[in-house]
Amino acid sequence: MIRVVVQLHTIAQKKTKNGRIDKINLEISNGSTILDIIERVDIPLKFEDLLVVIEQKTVAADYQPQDGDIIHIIPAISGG
Amino acid sequence: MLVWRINSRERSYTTKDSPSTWERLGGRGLVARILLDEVKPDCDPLGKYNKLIIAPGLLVGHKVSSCDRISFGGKSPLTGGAKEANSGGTTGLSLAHLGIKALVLEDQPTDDKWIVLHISKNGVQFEPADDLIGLGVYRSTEILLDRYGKNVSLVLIGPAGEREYLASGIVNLDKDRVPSRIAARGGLGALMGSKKVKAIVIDAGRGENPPIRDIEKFKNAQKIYNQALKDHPQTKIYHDYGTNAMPGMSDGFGGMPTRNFSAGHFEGLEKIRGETMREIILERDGEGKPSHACMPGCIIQCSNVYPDKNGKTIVSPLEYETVGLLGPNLGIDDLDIIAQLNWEVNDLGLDSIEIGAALGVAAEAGLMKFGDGERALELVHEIRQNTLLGRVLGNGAVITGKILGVKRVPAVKGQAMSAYDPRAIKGTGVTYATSPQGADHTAGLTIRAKVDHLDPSIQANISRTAQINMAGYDTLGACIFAGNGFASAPQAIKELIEARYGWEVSENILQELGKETIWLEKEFNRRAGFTSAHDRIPEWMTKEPLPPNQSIFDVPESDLDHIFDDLDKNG
Repeated sequence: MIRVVVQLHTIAQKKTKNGRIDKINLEISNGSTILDIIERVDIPLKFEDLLVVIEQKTVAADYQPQDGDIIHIIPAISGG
Repeated sequence: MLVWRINSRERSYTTKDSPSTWERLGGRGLVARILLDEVKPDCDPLGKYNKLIIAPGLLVGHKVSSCDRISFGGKSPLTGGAKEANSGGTTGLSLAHLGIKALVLEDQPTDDKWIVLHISKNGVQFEPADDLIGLGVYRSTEILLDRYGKNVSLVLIGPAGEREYLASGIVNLDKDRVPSRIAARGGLGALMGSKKVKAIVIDAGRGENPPIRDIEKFKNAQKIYNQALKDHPQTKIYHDYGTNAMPGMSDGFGGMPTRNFSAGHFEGLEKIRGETMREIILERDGEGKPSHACMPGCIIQCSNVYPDKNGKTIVSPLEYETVGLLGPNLGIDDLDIIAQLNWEVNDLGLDSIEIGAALGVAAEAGLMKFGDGERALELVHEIRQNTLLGRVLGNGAVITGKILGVKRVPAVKGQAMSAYDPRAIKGTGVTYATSPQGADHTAGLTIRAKVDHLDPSIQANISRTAQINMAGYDTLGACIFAGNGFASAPQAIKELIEARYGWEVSENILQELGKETIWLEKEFNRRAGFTSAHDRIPEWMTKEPLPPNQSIFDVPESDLDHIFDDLDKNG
């Protein structure tokens, strides 16, 4: 098992009675992919509508995170 | 649709059919066409030969969601090249309802008498503006709405435009009559000021929608587009968080401009991002609104009203570019201070991007400590007071850098960069470098592309596609976010245009309009003396690594030089 931190942005954040959850610590099995994590965290968007960023770079759906990674799950927008 | 020409020296006007070569253009494309046809490329941007061109986009006039934008343009006082800046609000709709395809302000008064132009179906009235001179945008708006009624649209400048500051913009009312929609970039407020026009009042009466050749086809296309826009996931993001949904994304890529573009990650991110802003607005309640439409009929509603602790409005809206340049770029992590700075900048009629960049340069020169919001407000107060330092800052980042001896100035063609560092989002760097407009994210932002933003070899094509599409949308009068709906329903553009005008257009009409527009702008710039040497990111950004990526801007110059080689006058 490895440990990662999933950082949730905008509409991917979870709303609870105690406020919004923007960070989830996960233990995942070796070989888990980004798609596995998206499913586990229950993100209500398709991968194509997300930008998944680790250390300032986008990663693909089949990327296998490493122990200690901080994974940003960002609902993509086109501009500001 | 007619072209209305107003001679600011003679105080006369004419209305005529538009030439056939202008008919199939609107917005940014029409601005570029008129520039090339009628404005001497080597003219003084603040002299009598320049023209202020105001043109609704091709789709404007029917409250199609996010498609009623108004373009302003001329030879830029800031860049010296072709300039178009557009805004939401009600101006586009009102001009279209008067049947105006373009409003062209010409010549220059020989005296110092300021005027208000009143435009209605009865023509143009030239009225004195003496009581408005020196007043900020908000107070001027109150007076003008009292005088002319609540149903008019307004186009106006603040003290910055009156003083011909190069960072001044042109302000328009939103649908709630707040002067908050600014065609900010390129110093067009100074161009309007050079014509001694403080405000244009547009009274469209009850207004008539421009004629539609095939109403059934238009309604069908509108329905398909509306549904696509409603269903798009970005619509909910912009509705809930506004454009300030962006900080997490830009910072996530290491591209948030921080302390005068010296870093790409801001440690105060949590305090200024859209998620926090939404919580503050909802908690404070009162006049605050996390979602708000700037144009009638907009489905997205990405605007907002940001309140103080007592629920009273500080500013509307608070947008990402302003937050980025007046926040992290100055080391400021307090949204209340950023909102106050935003209000001041709006009231003066200034471009918040250009002023944020100028203040960042000033901070690097030691005139304020990064993070000192009160000092930032004092510096903006210098602009209001028209002190020597205020005049320096009001003329933008490049002049501020030259006078204060700062070489690290984030600008291309004289215009400051928006809130994406080109060393981290290199495709947007290509846009900054090669757009005829100067550094401008709205000319072709690439951050959404699912690519390695640090790989220099792939950026030119991504930027080229984005630039062509954006020039197309700007010609239609469509907001960048309308593009989400059109991307899901691409046929809708063709069908809306065909139904509206009775033309037959290709499925690639968006790209055809975009290519033609960029060619026209580049040709104007070429005649004005621009060369490939102007299509460069500042040299220091090609040498100085940007933390945390430690990246430099290293897209090959040959990619920059040949990005639009295939464009010709036919687009």
